[in-house]
Amino acid sequence: MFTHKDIEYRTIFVINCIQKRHLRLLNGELLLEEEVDDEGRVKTLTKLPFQKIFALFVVGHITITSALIEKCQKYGVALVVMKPNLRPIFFWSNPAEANYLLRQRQHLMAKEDLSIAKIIVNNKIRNQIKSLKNTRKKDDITLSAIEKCISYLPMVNQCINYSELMGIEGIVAKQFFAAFYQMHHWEGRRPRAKCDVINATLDIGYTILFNYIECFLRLFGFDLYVGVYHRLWFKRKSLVCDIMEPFRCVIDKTVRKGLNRNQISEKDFNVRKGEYYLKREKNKEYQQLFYDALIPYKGDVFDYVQSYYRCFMQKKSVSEYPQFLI
Amino acid sequence: MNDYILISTLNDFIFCPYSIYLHNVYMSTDEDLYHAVPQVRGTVAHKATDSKSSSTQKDVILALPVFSERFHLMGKIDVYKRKEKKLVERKYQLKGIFQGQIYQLWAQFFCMREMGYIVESFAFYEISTNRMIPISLPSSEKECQFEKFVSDFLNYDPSSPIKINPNKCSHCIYCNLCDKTDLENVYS
Ligand code: SF4
Repeated sequence: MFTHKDIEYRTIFVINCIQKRHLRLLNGELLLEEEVDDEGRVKTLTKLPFQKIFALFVVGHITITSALIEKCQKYGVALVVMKPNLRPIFFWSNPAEANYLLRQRQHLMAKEDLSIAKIIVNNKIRNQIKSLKNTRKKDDITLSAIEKCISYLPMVNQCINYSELMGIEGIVAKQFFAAFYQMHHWEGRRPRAKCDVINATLDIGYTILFNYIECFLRLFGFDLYVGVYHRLWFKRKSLVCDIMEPFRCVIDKTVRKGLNRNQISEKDFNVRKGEYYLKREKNKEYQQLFYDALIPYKGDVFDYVQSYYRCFMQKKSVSEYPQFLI
Repeated sequence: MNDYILISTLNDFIFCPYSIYLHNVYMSTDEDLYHAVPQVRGTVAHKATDSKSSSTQKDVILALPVFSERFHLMGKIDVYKRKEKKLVERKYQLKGIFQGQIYQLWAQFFCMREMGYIVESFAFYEISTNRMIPISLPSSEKECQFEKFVSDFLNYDPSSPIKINPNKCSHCIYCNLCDKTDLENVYS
């Protein structure tokens, strides 16, 4: 079974397989190899013991063999393969798909029940407030955004319907982003529109966060498509969208820091028809930026999801649901 | 009918019926890897028997797969001594003998009987102390008791409420992924 010790000990490995790199199984170990010449000679870059892997994120190309799948299954390793643009094309991990009681409970939850959704939105807003406070900025925009965000918090609890809750979340997010990225010509959040560097980078960060959270939810066997805040929507994994809400602040903070330190900059992008695309050679750096920010939180994410699972199954009162506070 | 009970899970069912549900949820992941310390010791104790290497005597049958249509049971026996018509279950250490362990032995006995073997006695063998502990054969009354137990197992509904025993939970390998408790197990 996965225990806290397990989560502490195991790591999330992100492997770049873009340039002439392969993964190979040898004597039960996973080798990352790189071609060194045109005659197919290879050198081993690293060896990864399966016992140390919690999840394997492969960016680029990989040959998946049954032996690799068997090993991943044996050691409970999640395998995620992403295109160079970080779009996941393959997600393999099913440690608890037989947890039908959990799924039953998810499906039985009344559509209009907003109790857990409110906890999640409340948590997200609290982290947005904290993130603004942590900037230590005392300018009018920041102070007024903090004040407004605080004023919306009690309204979350009073919401009587879904659209009202979504409305509050949207207004607060607008205030938060405008103040948080004020030094970087923030124009507004436009998911997937790639209209500027910050939006394009936030998309990358949130995508990584999404896959990261998905690994933990799969550990317990949740139906990823059934959320409590995000509604059923075709192929959307609504529960992952829900659970990532309190953790978005980690990405927001990383983007701000990256902009301030010039680790994220306009010159890293190509612009095509007004859309910003990260240059291929910059892929690795950007991934590293986000994984480095997220991996230290793996214990917190496990605790959060474990506690959420238990509260959900035991129909605990909303006050007992977990909070992730940055 | 595919609902066969693994003899090795009888003990777990007595320990906590819900652990059988969790066992089935998580059993696709490797058994060795997730077995906590006490279970691992048991596995090691069985290794010699399972690989049929602990005895070369002709009259000894090791790790024989057994099966009962009547009780919907399947599993393996540890040791059957043909000449003595004796069934033996080896354990590394026996601090006490629990009902579940006795049921496992009975289960093996019923399976063997149904398969045509004659079993006249059985015993536990404690490896650490090299001790043989004889166990009496079940009376017809005990057989009914066992039948009722198996039927409870077959009809178990994991969504039915259970009484939690925190002491058990803290020693349960499923504790970290169980929704019935907020405890951590002692192996964490
Ligand atoms: S943790 Fe407790 S309730 Fe859950 S399966 Fe184990 S003993 Fe049963």
